[in-house]
Amino acid sequence: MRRLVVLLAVLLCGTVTPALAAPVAGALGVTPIKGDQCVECHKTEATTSHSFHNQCNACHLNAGEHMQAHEAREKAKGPNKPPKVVATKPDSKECLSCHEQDNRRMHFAFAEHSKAGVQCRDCHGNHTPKVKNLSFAQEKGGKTTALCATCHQDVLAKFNMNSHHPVKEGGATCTGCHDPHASKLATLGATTAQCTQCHQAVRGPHVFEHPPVVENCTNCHDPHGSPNRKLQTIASPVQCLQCHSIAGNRHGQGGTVSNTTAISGAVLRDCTSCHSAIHGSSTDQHLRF
Amino acid sequence: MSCKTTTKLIAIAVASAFSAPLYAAEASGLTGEVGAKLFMFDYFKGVGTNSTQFLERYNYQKGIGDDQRGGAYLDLDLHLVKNDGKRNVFELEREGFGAYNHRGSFKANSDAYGLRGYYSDFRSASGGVAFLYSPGQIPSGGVDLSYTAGSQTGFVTQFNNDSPGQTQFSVDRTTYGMGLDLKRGFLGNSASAAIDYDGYQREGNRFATYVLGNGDLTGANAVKRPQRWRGFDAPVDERMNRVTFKLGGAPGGNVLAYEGSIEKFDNQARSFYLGDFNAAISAATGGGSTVVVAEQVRPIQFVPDSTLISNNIRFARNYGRTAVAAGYGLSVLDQDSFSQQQQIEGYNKGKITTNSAYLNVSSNVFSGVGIDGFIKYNDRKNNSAFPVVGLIDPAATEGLDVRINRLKLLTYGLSATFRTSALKSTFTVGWKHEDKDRDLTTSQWGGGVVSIHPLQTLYRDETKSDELYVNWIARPMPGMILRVTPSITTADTGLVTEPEKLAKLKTKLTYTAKDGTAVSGYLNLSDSKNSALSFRDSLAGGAFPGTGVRQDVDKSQQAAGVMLSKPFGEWVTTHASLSWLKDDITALFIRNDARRYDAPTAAINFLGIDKPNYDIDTTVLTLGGDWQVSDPLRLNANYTWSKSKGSVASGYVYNQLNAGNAIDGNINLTVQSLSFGLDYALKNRIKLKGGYVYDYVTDKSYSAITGGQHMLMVGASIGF
Repeated sequence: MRRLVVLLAVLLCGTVTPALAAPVAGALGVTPIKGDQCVECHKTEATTSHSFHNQCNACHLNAGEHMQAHEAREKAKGPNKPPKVVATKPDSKECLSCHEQDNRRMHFAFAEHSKAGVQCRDCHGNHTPKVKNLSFAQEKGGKTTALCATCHQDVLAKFNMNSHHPVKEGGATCTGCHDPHASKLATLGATTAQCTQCHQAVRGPHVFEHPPVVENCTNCHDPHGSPNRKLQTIASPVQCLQCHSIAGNRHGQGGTVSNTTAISGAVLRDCTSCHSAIHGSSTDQHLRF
Repeated sequence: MSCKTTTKLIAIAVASAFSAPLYAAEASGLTGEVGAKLFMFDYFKGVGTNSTQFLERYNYQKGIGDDQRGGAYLDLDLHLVKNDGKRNVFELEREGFGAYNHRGSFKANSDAYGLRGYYSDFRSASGGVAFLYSPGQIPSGGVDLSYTAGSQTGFVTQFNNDSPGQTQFSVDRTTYGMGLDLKRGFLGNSASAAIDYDGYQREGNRFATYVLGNGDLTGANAVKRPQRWRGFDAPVDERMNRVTFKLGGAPGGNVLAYEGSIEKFDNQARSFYLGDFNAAISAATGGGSTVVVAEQVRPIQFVPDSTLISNNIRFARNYGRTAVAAGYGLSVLDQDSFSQQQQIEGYNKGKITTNSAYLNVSSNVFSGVGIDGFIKYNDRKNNSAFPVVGLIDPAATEGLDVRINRLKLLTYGLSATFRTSALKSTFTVGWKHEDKDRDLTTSQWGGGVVSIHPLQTLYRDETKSDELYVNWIARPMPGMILRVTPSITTADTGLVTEPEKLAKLKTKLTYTAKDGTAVSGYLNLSDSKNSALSFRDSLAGGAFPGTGVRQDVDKSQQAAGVMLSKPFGEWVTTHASLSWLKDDITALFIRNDARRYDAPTAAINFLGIDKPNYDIDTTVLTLGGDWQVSDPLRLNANYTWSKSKGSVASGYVYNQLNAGNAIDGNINLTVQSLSFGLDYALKNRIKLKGGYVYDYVTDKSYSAITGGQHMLMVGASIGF
């Protein structure tokens, strides 16, 4: 409890800390450089997204220097031309100066992607999508999946396992489950909501609940992929034997009350063939139907 | 006209209506591409002529007519874009990969509003290997071969099929949605609003299995036992519809957002009851057995209708270099329909209430150091009717196993991030604490009532864990990023799947050269143990003599991989990757000599039989390339090879799994996919497109699944 009080105090201090620096402002405070001035060279970008704002240096902060350097190089004669100045791509803070007020991006500062140093530009093209061409093998999965796969190779490998969510086949997308702008530490709702937003049939409410199902779907399932049926993290029966002992007089032979009769493979082979209401039952505490 | 078709037509009509004035205003801004595609496919080998769905695989195709093994079908791609000279104000897209896999979307944008919509249709096979192999389903029913020898007298039997002849099992999922955004340009600069409608429809069938208790049937044991294990063709017909209202604004620099949603889930499939199969059981036994009358109203895998209402409020603000995020949410899940049995017993309320909240602070007030803190709270309360005599009752024999009345989760932590010029590094050192508090009810002792004592479960009231972690991100040279994240967790656990001790390491190194060559590698290690929970023996009447068996779970997971992407000149790009994943898990196989429900009248002794080891290696290799042969011609090729191999158990369990049916103890599965693609641009914006796919699955355990397919696609598109 003491730790909690200390933590609360620290957080509270954080919330009332006076402003010690200027707020993130992007480039909106600077003199706007109209797109008309840039379009002479950058014709392709002129009709793409963001260009309607007609203020290039809101995102490309050094657009003015870039333009001046270009003009100076044009005017310069002889071999000693002034150096090029490459127009910078925006950091996340420039993007957030406008987009932070969007409901889905308001917590991007706390998002796992942001904490890992991922900038908006790493996924989003300012004017055109990052992924332009897909191979024939990628077409069903689509561009979003191809984009996520460029970094998350460990996850991509799982989608090639025998049992997987059909992402590469086009039946699901990465962003259908994951909000790339959100933080796990800033989510609301049930702990299983990420799965039951599509799998409502297993959410109940059930009269008889199965505790690991209530606690977290990932206790038994790996949503990305698994060598086992039904995305199970471990194949039956070891998956179930972690938590359950087996009553020999129900799972052994002949109904004997002993620990000596063999428990056979037909019992151990697939627990959920009999306990088929494994996510919860309306009638049976043994989750058989 | 089906609901699915109506929804698609509405979406297209809305899109068309919206786009018409835009076309009229500036027809020259409209660009697009329309393409027709012809797919031809041929399945070979595999399971029977009627079971071409590759079981749990995801490439369900069907040609014209009833031939499931080969055929052809046409599809259409469409991409329209309307640009007003400044940006895309309207986009309409449709991509098709056959009658069972297609999707579409549209969006329209202006400064003041946005309108968007989507749909997708995808079919999955729902009949798995359990349908083909014991014990999931044996068409003829009867006694499993593995139970006919020696002392194995047939207590467990094969599943009787109450839907003989049905071999096709699949589920179509159609998702759809529309949204209207009222932007800040519409509501003034400080507010925005949106209303979204989302939904899906699942239709199809699956093979449902269940097992009747011996007491659920009348008749002599020898007659009724073979009838206890049953399966049937169960229809799937579900609909979900959700309306979400969002309101956001930033008054005085305080970013506020409200999101409220109503989600209605309807199960429109017929509900089945034990009594539905009474006639089949009676016929199979010549009238020798039927379902006990009192049990006939018990439903089989009843899926209730439900409504979920959620309200969330979020807040964000920057105080100088300190950012704050907070939120509170309340969601209530209500059961809307009740089974016959529930109605008879008076169970009339199924309700789960979840309160959740968080507060996050991230501050950079000190130069070079960032401080982060968070608190997160989640409280799930089961407000359903309880107890209900005759259904869920802790004072009745087998009336309750365990009920989770309430589950509270409090997580909080702190981290500090240091930035240093050494290797351009960022170090984060963090700590996270988690408290899980469970309010549980188990069957109660006393008065000779049969029950389960909490000490004879591996589930406890509390879990407390602490995690320490370090996250190091370095950029030692231009183009190179190294990420290393080790962590250690220790816990007092209340659930076996939670680690008592956990050590993890996650690393990734990426390097991108100036010529576009990219190399990366990753290594993820995880080692967890839990030996904190045990089963206690009991004497008849319930005394605990102090002995028992302690569960001992040991999980080791490793993953490593390398990836290379290499361009050759301006026209050729290639990539290759190799990943290896290993899961090595052991847990005690524990048995008890009497049911835990029998504790008041019988001694219960737990016995550790063996420590089976689940040990599977998976290797994934991908190779691919893209070659822009000339301006009009582009070729691409990809090859994926994935192999999973190992034992799902060892020792006692492995031997029993393989006794009489040597298929279930091992995984030995290889999946290969080879594809070629071609795009060729003719004059006048006409493009030709082609593709070929060869898939082959080799399953050395479930050998009947081994098989493959050829698929060829040719298409042409017109751009404008």
